[in-house]
Amino acid sequence: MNCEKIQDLILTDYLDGEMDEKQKRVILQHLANCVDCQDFALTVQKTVIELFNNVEKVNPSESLWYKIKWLIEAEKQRQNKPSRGIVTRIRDMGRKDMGRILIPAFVMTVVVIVVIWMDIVNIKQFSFYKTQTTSLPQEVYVGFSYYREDESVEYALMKNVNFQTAIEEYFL
Amino acid sequence: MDDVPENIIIKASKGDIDAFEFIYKAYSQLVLNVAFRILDNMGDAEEVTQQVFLAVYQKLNKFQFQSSMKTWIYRIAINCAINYSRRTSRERDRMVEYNEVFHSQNSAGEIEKHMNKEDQEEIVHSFLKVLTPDQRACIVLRNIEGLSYQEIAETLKININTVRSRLKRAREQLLAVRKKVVNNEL
Repeated sequence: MNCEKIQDLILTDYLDGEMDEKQKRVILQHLANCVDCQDFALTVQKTVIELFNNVEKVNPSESLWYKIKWLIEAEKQRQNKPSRGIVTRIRDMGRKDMGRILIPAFVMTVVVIVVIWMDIVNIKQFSFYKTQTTSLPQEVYVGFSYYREDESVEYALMKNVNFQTAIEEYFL
Repeated sequence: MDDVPENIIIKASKGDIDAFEFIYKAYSQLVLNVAFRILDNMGDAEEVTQQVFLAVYQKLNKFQFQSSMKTWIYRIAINCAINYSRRTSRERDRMVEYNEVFHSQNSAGEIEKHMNKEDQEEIVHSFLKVLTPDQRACIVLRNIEGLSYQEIAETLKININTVRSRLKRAREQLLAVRKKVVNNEL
């Protein structure tokens, strides 16, 4: 075995004690006759093996366990509570409160849709009426009443009234 | 590898917090030390330790007893620490850091003297910083935690020859850095 191969083994298996006796004997025989490999083995031993020997072990702080315990308890509580997510809430409602919540909600929705629909129909009718009125002949007479100062009612007829607004047109 | 009794693990997996405390007490120092050597920061190491034990608690019911609990916890700790290390951008320029530590060193003899002093700890940190997280994990498990190649391979779920090659490259790198320091190149 050449020095390169020996040094590769020194760097790993030899110094880490991962060799069987036979392999170890081969390395030791080589080291006995090779100064370069001896130096290499010593340097590796000192620099990258012994350096890490007896490094101080650090201890966890007292509070660490309590923090972990608290997080575990919090997680347990979170799992026991129903989830507050919107999708989950809707899903839960579907499961548990179908009759109590979804049916009134459905009825309310239908009522709202009907009211909106009726409103739209009214507007359409009104638009139709407006179309009709705009097609009236040029001379339009509008009768109206008003109170005089002595509280008697006066009736009058106006010719060619120009309606300025839709509300005005609707009421008159 | 010594392990906690099986009945304790089963109890803990069913939510028994006292049984889980037993597991915590058995392995918290190991987890913290692995995380500390990989992250080189006690605050980060404690945060990772917290993450590790929360993960252990959540996954305990999936533990199959195929590997030892210690190997399993080592694996979670190493993965969490490496992921944390990659996530955070706290890894400063490694060579600069090394240069700071060895700023006043001039010869190999002085380095060796330095190693025997109380700030050996600082040199260990600086050496580890030169390595990639994967190499660092192998060095920590082998040189500090004393795991065999087989145990490292099982812990990291890698081939034993990968363990060998990572250790070899890591040590070659450490030797190269040492050489530069000796030659005053750093």
